[in-house]
Amino acid sequence: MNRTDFFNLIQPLTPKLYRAGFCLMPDDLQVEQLVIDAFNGYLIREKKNILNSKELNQISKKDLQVQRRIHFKGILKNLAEIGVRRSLQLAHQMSLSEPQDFKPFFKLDPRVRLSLCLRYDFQFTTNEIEDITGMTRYEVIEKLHNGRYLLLHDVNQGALV
Amino acid sequence: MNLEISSNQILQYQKKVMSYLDGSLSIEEQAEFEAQVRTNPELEALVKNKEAEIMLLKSLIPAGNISAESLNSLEAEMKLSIFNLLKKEPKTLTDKVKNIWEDWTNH
Repeated sequence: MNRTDFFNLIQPLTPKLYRAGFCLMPDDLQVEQLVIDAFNGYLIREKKNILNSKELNQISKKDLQVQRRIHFKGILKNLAEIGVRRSLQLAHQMSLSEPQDFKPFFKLDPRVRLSLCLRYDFQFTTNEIEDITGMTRYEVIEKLHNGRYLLLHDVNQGALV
Repeated sequence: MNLEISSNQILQYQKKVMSYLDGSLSIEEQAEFEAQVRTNPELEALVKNKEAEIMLLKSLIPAGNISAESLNSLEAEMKLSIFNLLKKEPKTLTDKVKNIWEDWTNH
């Protein structure tokens, strides 16, 4: 696949990658940097596969969606790895730019936030989240359970006050 | 298929509601669970309740909408990365011309 075709294939993923990054780093500049770093890592790792893949005009519409999803998950893998680490390192700075409406969400551990976002925003299955985050199945289920409990508990507490 | 179940079994199915909604049940378990939900109003109500809970949960997760300005800048950066990092090593003169043409038409 040539570079122009690859860009056209990937372009619709940009807002989604930003959204996933935002769950980890609620700061415009930091998210952009995170997405670019994850994307560059993916390009370096997958260069051969991308360049040797079929040209866009040789791919059916269905295969196009499949390919796009494979690339999306691949980039998300990098984004998860870099983003969780960076989010833990910059937790203090990040707290200043957290959107006020979502304070309870950003109080959660980055791995919990990412799991919730992948499951409930992007509709990934537990297996896919396992693959993207590198966590075990047990860890993913635990993170989802904890995240749900803490977020809903926070809302219920707020309603009682 | 006999779908009559004991209260103990209902309890077991109740425990599976979140796993079902999280998509962590196997295909067989999922089909079995759905069959039970269709025949058991108590279980059906519980699933609906949990679905409402998930809707609330979704509203607590930020949408992270990207501004038009950020989208343009991010796409430009991604394009630049693609053109810098995915350059095919030219083996022939045609490859070389192809690379130059692609670079020229996209910058």
